Amino acid sequence: MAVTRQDVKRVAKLAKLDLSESQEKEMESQLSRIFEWVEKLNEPKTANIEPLVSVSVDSMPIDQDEVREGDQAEAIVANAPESTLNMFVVPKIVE
Amino acid sequence: MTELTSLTLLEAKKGLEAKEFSAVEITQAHLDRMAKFESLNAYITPTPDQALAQAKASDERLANGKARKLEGLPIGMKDLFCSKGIKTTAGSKILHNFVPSYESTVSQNLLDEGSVVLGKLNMDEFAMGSANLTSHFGPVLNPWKANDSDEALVPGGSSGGSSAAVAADLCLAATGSDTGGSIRQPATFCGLVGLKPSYGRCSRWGMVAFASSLDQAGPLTKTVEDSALMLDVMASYDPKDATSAPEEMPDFTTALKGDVKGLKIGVPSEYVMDGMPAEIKALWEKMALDLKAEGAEIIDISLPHTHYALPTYYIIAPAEASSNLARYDGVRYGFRHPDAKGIEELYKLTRTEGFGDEVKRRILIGTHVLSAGYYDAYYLKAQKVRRLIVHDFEAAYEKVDIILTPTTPNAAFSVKNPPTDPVVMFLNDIFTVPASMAGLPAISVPAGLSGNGLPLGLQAIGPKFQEDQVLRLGAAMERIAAFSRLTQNPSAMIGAAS
Repeated sequence: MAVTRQDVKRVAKLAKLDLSESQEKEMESQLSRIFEWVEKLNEPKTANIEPLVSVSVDSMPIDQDEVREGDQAEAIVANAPESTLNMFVVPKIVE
Repeated sequence: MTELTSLTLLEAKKGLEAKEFSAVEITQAHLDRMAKFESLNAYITPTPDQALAQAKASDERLANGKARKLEGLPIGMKDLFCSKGIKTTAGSKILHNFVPSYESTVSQNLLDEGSVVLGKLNMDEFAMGSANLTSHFGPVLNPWKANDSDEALVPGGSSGGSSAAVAADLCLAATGSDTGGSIRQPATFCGLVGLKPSYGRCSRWGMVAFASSLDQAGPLTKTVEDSALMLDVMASYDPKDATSAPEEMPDFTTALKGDVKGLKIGVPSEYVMDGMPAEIKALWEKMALDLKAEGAEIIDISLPHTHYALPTYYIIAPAEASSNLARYDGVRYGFRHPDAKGIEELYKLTRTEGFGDEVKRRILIGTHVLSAGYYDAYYLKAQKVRRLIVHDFEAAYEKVDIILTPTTPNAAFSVKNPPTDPVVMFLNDIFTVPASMAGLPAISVPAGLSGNGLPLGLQAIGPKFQEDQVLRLGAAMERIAAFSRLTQNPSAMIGAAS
């Protein structure tokens, strides 16, 4: 299925990416090429086939809700672009 | 005396244990060679001080009879394994300043057995690429050159720093990661052995995520024996990775003899691709004949959904990537755009400037196939076809022990003129993706040279958790091919190495 310019704009917005007009144009043509190629997946019959999510486990194991490590606030914010009092600082959200 | 850097991992291990040289000596020899071949751009972050300190500690252990499995052996680490206190970038601007506060399980396993880490190896950004052209830190060059041109060639990808470094003797062995072929394809392009273990064999904890249902760590090495030695240390059951497999590790000692008598080897007709060079098909057929002469049984098989594996992969991997890469928002770590005024702008500017074009393209594909109205048609459909691909292999392994195929449909190509059609670039992975989709162990072994003198590889794909069978056929192919590594064949080296 061809990908339209509107599709590219919609998806870029969802993915929080800004595209210039020329990038939108290029993505429209490249994604169209890719999705036309992907069309061949309509050939195999899959009506009675269960989707495969993982090759290793049928369902994700669930951990006990218990603290195993803690008191590492400094290590956690060590890579933050900006932090104060062991908290992440972000630009103002509410006007 | 042979140069220390030209030894295999196993030869170096024996040399250290016999006290023929020290860990500091072999580490320094590699550091010197890394500096000499800096122009290959194989390492993003060399760690010489840490390496020499580790080597010194290893020499003490060797002297005290306390050597561990990889004591004092210098290796390279792909830059997507988190290294405590050492910059880990995944080849991306968005992680250009990220210094993990913890160590990945795979790299910790290697450190715990005494290996010396020379540095962090270049790679395609977030492991997305087949040519190492998408790294924020620039392309890596293949140390091989063709016999009819001096043009710079790609080392393959995404583990392109790993393959270039091992081929040029800038480390004894390297770690890589394989999502759709990112260990096996670069191994082929650089004339090396590349092993992708079964999904779940090596822990993904502390590995920067690309596509979580496919990502698997493995080694790039000079020989099949070295590959077994690395896998033995890298693999472990890890409760910190929910998909880690609590399976016993097979014993490789008999597998490495490469005795193929009675081994049933399947040759799938679907792996003959239109436009594939005749020399690759000829190499594959000759190997099958040589294996037959050694007592293996060659059986024609069919994997009918092979042609759907690549489009399936290019839905599932970007879908998982778009979800995994949503975490890069400029808030907690990595690059933050300095001009952002509000939170929405912070996300947009940071991601737009932090990600490269290939990563953005895959995020857009993934977001599209997961979005309302397209989920069933693309993502769910791909997951169903993925099951058919798994069924193909299950049916095949009722008839055969192992499957033999080419690794790639071509040899290394030019850095300057890579394919511009994304689908043509994707075709590099056409023979490696099916085993990834099914989570199967697979090895690529260098099998010969193309007409213009570049390495070509053949692949053995085994049943799940039967890395021993994969190594068994790998060892036999290695013996039959009697391939000369690059540094045993210096005229093939870029820049005419002195």
